[in-house]
Amino acid sequence: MDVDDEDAIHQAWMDQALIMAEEALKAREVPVGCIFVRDGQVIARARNRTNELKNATRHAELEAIDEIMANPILTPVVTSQILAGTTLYVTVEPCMMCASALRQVGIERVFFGCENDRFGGCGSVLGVNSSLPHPVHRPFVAKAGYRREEAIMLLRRFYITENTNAPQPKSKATRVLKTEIAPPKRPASRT
Amino acid sequence: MALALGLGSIFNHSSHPNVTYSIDAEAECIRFTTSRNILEGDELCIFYSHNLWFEDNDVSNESFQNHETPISNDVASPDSTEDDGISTDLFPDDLLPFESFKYLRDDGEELSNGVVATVDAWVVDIPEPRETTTLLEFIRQTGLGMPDLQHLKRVRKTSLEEGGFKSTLLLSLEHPTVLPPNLPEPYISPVPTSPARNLEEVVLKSTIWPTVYQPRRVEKITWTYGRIRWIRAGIQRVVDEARRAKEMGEIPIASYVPDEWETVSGLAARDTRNSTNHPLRHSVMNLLRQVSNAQHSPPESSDNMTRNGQRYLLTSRTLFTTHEPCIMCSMALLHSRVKDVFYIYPMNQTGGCGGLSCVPGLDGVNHRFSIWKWTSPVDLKDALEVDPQLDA
Repeated sequence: MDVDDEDAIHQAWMDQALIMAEEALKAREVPVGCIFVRDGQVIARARNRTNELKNATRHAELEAIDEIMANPILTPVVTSQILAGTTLYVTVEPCMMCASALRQVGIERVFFGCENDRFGGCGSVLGVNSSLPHPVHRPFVAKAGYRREEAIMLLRRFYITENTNAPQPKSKATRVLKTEIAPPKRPASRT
Repeated sequence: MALALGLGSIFNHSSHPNVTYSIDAEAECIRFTTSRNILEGDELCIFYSHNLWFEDNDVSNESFQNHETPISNDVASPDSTEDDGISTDLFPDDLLPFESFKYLRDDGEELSNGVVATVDAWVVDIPEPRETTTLLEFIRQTGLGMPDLQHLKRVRKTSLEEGGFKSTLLLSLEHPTVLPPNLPEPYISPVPTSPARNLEEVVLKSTIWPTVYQPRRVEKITWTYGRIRWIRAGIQRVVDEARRAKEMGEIPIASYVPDEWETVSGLAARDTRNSTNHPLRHSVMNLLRQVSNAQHSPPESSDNMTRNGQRYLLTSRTLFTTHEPCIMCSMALLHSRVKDVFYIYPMNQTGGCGGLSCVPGLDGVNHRFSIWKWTSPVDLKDALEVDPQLDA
């Protein structure tokens, strides 16, 4: 299979992660969604629930990991690499917390949409996925740039629409959603 | 110090109270909440303050009530001077039972060689200068961008070539979750990471974004006997919890967060990855979940504060833990905006608070917290030993 075909497959999976991010947006959560894929099947879908649970650590990735761990069919035995052979598709780069969690459960590889300059754990702030040495947990490959623009547009739609606390408008000027997207600051792929 | 009248004047003082209180300014009342199960016959006590004006009866039989095992003394002070000191007296620095893990320069200064350290923030141009007051009022009411941006002025005026000026409003570090309508799309602009410490810095930093002038106070952190005793009690609490965890077949790691400074009520959690068969059930993650559950229904959490995300789980709170938290837990603490983290055992191969990495010291992260390493002897050290390759 050539590279383009492979990319098309990853992008198709990422479309499903974007559906979860859309769901987060509808629920007034920061729109980040993910799916976990094993043997060509989606084994978990999740999205951010930080506002709903009033817990800033309930990111999509941790929600999904908990779901997989709780399912005896998906996790019959707890080993040191529970998510071996499992791929994560997530719309935004996993933060350092999630990247560490993913490494601790032995994720195989990660594809993500856009970078997270504030606390990205797959290279943007710290390479928790691989460049940071860990005495036990094997590194994993994280590749950026899959449906990146869609992921960014979702984030923009979030802050442009979320105005429930706003004072009453005085005039009816319309806000415009910008659609130009700057290229990534770093190369789109890294290991 | 304030004096509560009415019902509030009936409570006796205890250094280990079973009732906490908070002031609800909106309802103009004081709300008393039990902080643990109350048994029939128990006296309800509150904590007045460390600054007592009478002899504390409680001191002689001091114990954490409702503990399953008798109070232990693993972290008792090596000499009695610490226990005898008057609560508000300053504690001598050279006797501190812990040390700071410093990840910023000693003076906390981030400015070097005339280069201003900046961070990207979200800003928005104000199309109608007349709206500025309304927008500032909106910022004030929602607390948007606070406390991260309190060292910056909220509006920047830029002269336009064609005459007049343009006003730009500073919003927040993260994507602003709430915005007044009728504004153009926000965009990112660099802003200085700290206030201007001298007049030279005022000029330098304000070319990037108008910055508040705040000369550094020369005073450093001072510790009182009362505070040291409170910290020691926190350390003792996590040691007790970790020991109990071990008795129950868990990894002996525990964390504790007091409700607020000067109280000893609070929530504690143990590592439960053995019993739950879940490798991510670290004590810090368990504790954060407990804290968020406890905050789900409190009457004082006004909807406004939680909805715009300005209220975080551990804002201005101190966390005690036995072992240096791993990268996952350190970042979880940063997400929760903890203020201080105390730990006993460093984890050099896996820790995220100075061991393997120092998460709050990384470039880009939007919150800093202080890290304190307990250096005073703790008995039972072997009992709380864990595999150095473990993520705590």
